Amino acid sequence: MIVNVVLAGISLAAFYFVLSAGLSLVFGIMGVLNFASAGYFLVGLYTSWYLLGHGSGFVLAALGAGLLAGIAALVIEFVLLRPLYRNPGGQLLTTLGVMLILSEAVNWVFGPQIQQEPLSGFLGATVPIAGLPFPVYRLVLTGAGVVIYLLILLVLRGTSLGLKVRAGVESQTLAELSGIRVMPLRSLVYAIGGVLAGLAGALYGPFGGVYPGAGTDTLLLTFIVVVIGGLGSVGGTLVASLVIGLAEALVGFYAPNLALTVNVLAMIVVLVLRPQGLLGQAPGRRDTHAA
Amino acid sequence: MPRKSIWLVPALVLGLLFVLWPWIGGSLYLVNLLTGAVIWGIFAVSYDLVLGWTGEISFGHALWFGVGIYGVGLLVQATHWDTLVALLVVAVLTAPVSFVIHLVSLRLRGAYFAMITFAIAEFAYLLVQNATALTGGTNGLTGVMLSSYLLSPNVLYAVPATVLVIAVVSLRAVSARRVGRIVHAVRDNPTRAALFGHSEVLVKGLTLAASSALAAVAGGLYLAYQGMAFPDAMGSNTSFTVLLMVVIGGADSIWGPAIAGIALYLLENSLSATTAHWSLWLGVVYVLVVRFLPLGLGGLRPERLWPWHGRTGILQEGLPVAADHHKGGRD
Repeated sequence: MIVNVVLAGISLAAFYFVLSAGLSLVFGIMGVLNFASAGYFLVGLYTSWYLLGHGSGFVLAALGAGLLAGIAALVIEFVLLRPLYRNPGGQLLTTLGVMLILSEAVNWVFGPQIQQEPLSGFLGATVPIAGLPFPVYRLVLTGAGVVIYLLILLVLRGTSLGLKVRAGVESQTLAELSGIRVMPLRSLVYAIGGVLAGLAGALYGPFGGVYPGAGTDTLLLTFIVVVIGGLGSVGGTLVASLVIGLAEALVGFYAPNLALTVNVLAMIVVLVLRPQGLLGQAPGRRDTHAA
Repeated sequence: MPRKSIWLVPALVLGLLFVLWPWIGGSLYLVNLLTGAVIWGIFAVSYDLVLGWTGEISFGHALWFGVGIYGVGLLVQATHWDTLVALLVVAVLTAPVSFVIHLVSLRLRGAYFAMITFAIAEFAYLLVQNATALTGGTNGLTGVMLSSYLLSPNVLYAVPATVLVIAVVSLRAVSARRVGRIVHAVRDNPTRAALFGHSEVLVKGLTLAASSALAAVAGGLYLAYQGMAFPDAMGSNTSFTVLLMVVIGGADSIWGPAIAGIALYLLENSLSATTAHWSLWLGVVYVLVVRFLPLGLGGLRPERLWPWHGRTGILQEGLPVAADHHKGGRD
């Protein structure tokens, strides 16, 4: 029994990681708390639902979701955020607007009702674990989370692009002084943030349902994860996803109403006592961006 | 000062007209509609104190609206006091509570302040939703015995209208005086203001406390207007809506948010019937305003359009502190 709850918590953690990693990276390099991420999440959610309904396989649907969400993010960055890059307050307000617009657009096109996303074949099956049936999809979700984490790690640690991104997160001024062109880097990271949010959307459909409010429903959890992990830290996001996923599964198992409340309280405590998060950089080491 | 006294009489007449027009002649429908609009106007003015006066972005202002709703509702249920007395008591008590909470929130700035206000408001929202025995949970707070004079639609309109007039007039007066200048100095350059002995946390905390009290008044009036209330009234959508109103109206002025609050409420309630996608258009207008009119529609004054005009608004310059700095000032 407890094994199943823990496994469910880990699969939730995998989903939270995919959902939050992009937000954390984008904050790291742009200093923008990207509300629009909830909008790209919706783009991914509905794209994958549409593709699945038109005969595509799950992997193809997820890739399409990530691609379209990434393109949406790239366009938004270029048209709306780039002109405001010296104005973090304006960027924050703009991302909120993008989120509201995308939520309403989805509501307009597809309607407010909850769409079911039936999984075919082995994805929709269950396997017995500790004597109880456990959905295969939850295991796939965990696997997807691990693969995406390894990919991010590979790019960040193993490529020159990743080195530049890490330099930009560490100190934008120093990165620019070292000859790194930070502006295209910002666009790229922002687009990757969109791709990750879109993938998270594709992963959410089968267990969370497809509806226009899904973006704002998951937004609070994303914030909790990135705050506890430390904005800008991918490793921190992973640790925080595990903490929050397991806490939600375990607390939710014993007292369903309390799960979210406990997590929000944890976020407030971390914000007050350790605003840089569990694994984030000390704030004093950050320079103001675009200085 | 003669220049001021010239405006005194017309302003007084306009203010009285604004409060008393239902008695001169107005349909029940219009009076009722405008009551809601004026309450949102008050709420928008209270958020202007946050965005325009402290320069901080809060994503949890609905919390204080909710404190007003549930504070007044529960107080009236428990004591059977006069509704407006209860409203006053709640507003007076909200200020110190808000001050203490903001002493904690103000340890953070920029995006972090935005997040902690969001988190605290969501926490309160979840508490209200789950404390079913006290608040009725998602079934709503019902059965609040309001004072009988509030049953008259004209009175129900005149009370918030009076509050709005007093709020706008007194905030404009404060804004031009020493206290207001200190608040704006702290917003624009906290380090320099601190050198002159004005603690940033203290000044912003007191401004936010006043803002919360005014928001609680709006919330209490909203309860009187609706007769009942649901937890969603203090949910994140309420915070986002009031933020949109103030940004569109212009955080740099007091009239802007008040008029935007009223106008957007009226537009929403008249347009939702014709277009189901009101929120989409609102979002588009909002994004365009942030991009092209950082001072909002209230900033559309002829002298402001002059390119060499010296004064810039808070959102044009960016917030006084960078978003990824959680402590300290710009200097």
